[in-house]
Amino acid sequence: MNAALASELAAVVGDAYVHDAPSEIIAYSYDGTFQQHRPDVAVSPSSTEQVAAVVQLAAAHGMPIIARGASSGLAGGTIPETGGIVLSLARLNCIVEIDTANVCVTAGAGVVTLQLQDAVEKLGLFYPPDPASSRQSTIGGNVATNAGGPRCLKYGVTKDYVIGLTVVLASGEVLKLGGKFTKNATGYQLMQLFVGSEGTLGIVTEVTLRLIPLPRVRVTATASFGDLNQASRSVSAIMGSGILPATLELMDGTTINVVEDFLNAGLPREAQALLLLEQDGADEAVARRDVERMADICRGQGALETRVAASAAERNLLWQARRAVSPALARIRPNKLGEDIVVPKSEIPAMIAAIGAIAREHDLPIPVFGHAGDGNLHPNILFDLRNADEVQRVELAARDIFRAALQLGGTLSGEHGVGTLKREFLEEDQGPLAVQISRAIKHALDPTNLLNPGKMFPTGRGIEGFLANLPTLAGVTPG
Amino acid sequence: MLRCIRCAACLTSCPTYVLTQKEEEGPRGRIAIMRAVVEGHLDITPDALQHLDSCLLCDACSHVCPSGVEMERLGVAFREVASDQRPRRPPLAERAAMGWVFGDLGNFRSVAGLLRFYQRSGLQWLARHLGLLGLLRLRDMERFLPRLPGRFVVPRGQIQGAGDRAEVFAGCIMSTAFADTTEQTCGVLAAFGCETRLTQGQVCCGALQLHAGEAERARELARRNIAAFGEGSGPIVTNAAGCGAMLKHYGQLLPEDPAAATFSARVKDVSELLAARQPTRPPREVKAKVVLQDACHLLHAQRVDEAPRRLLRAIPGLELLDLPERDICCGSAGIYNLLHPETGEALRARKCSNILGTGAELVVTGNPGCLLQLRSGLPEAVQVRHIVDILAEAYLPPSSSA
Repeated sequence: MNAALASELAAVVGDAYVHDAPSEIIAYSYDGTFQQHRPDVAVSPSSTEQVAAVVQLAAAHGMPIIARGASSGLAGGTIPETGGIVLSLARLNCIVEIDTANVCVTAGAGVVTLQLQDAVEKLGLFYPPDPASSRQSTIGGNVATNAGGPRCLKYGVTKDYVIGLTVVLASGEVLKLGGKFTKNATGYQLMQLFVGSEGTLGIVTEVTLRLIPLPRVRVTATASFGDLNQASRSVSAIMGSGILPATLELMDGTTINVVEDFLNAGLPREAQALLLLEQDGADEAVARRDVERMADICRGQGALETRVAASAAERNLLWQARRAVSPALARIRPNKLGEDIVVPKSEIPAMIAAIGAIAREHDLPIPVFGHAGDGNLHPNILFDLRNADEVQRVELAARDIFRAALQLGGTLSGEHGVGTLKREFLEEDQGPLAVQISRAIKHALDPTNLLNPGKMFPTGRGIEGFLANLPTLAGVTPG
Repeated sequence: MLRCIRCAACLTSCPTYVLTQKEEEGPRGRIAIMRAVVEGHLDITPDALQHLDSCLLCDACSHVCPSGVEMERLGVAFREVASDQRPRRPPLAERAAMGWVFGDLGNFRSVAGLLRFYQRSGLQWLARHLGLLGLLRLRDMERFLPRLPGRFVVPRGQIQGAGDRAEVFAGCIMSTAFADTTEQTCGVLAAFGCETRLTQGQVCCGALQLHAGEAERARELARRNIAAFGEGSGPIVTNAAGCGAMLKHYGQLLPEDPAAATFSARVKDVSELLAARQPTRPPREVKAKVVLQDACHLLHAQRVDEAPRRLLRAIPGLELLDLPERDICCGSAGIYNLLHPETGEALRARKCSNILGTGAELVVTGNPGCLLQLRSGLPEAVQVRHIVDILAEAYLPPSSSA
């Protein structure tokens, strides 16, 4: 990296927050996937003004800029695959204001999701979106990927809560959108354009989120099944029964066992599927009745056992287990490709059957878990990156999973985003016209392709080798 | 190391990440750096050593890691590999001296005796006022030194109490600087129906050596302890969380020696053993608002969480309060606070401010490092005491309570 840029960056953020030593560049080279590529330099500014100044420097030096929060993403969205400047927003970690009169919170992009939730819950308020990574993910990252989570079934995803944004544009200008109000029919909804834009249109530095009252009670239950298909049929039956559960999560037999190895949460190891059912609300009797009706439906589909959590501690343990599923899968194989497909609720049984068939066809373990209630499933293909033959089979399995979801009327990603992992499939999902419009928007806001270049859009290299072409420190993956 | 899938669940558990928000100062970054070195993508550069050495080895990250990474084990292994490549490796004479001091509890006591003489003879006053300590760069170390008691515990096979046999591991610091607490440990164990024995031939546990990259020395100490306790089969009890974590890891340290795993399986923290023996209502109350300072090497490395709480809750008059950020290290971490004073002090300040926010009058912990670290950071109105001393006050007659 050129020394001039390093000293100019240091002048903006301070010497201690320019990360350019050999080991430091390694530390900003990865995300929550297996991909890895060194940036030229990383910086951690502490204010919107500093972010804007860094963007201006990047533009002047013609260096791409890759914004990140905790870099726990699962789609490769923050991998600096062509080098450049990684800009960490982790130090913008102040909750600016919790406004109880306007029932909203304003926070820096680097505030950790769970810390924001804890802070508002102390005042009886509730921020529902709860990605499994909420312990580490940042609000800025949640906005950039339009993050979801189990509770989004009932309460909606990140985009449904964003009412104000501060964004640094590729020009270095600071754009403020929205405010402390929830209705807004004034012009284009530009704010929503930045939600889920994965750092390709602007860098979100501050967010205002609407809140709702914290539900007074929460009733949680589990239903275990000897057959995965019984569980998926139960999901469809519950969703068609007139109940809107707070959460309706599915784990298959493999995920149950791997998370038990970590936590000993008391999940039934012998079961082939587990549903985690929850209802919340203001009235305990109503919530309990909903949960009991859901349990009845499960028993009607052949559940082995249904069980209502007896205490808050038991409930917390169940949720801790659910959140640990994705990373705990690393106990089985060194690498995993965590997919994030969505299908219409009624197609859940068909999708789960398709995943089973794909796993058998390509001879790969593909455990499934996810937010079954809203049709968002996480089939995780487990493999070893060092095995070229396996990598090739993973590519085919991923392709087949995407195509099965599309055929059932679904989409590629419910909450992880596109990043590098799904970009080659974007056109198959959205069609050429939608991709063309998206490119036009990107060009209008970032004409020199400064912000997170290459992400989200098809590279033109095609589907074959899409995984093997992704960067690792050893070069491209074997294959 | 391959187990780390970079999910980042560890970030918010890591004291140095929480302080700096820097990826290279967090567990995921450190593992990526180690892996890059091992796989040949990175040399052991001074900056790499700096970020790896700044790890407290508190194991909070391992505790929350869903994929089962064992950070302390990795960090220790890396320090052993890297110890030859350090630009400023401590001179041979210094390392030999450390070996002599810690290699034998008798030698350790002799040095502690000299320090006691230094504290009481007026030499300390003189040294402090002459600025000698600053000159010798010993100011930090000297400041943390507790006032040494009049007599030390010398394990010679002494037996106390009657009942189930429990062998007491006295440790270097706990048998000298905290000799009173170690005596009380035998007393409290006896009150809980144990026959305690201060087993002869035991030496320092080796944790400090291991964390400093001197794994061979640590293995030698482990072999001597395994031999000393080899005849028994009952629990080996320690009142220092750091020692307990180390002793429980002998099986990993000496994988080829089946006796090491057997030894490790016998090791219990004093709170673990006492809580398992079902505390009865003690005869005396301890009236105080209390917070428990979870030692990292108890909570994270040994996963002992409920046992000390159960013991404290059984004491009448004692009100146990919740401590925010209880899983974040106090910055002591063995001798980390001496090697990295800036980070050690920042963590101590954070911990003390959390403690003061609770309104507690008494902080209870089970590790000498935490005791010294917090005593040096809290106002005098807030006492910091070992859990055994609190239990002694509740369970033992006043005459035997120090």
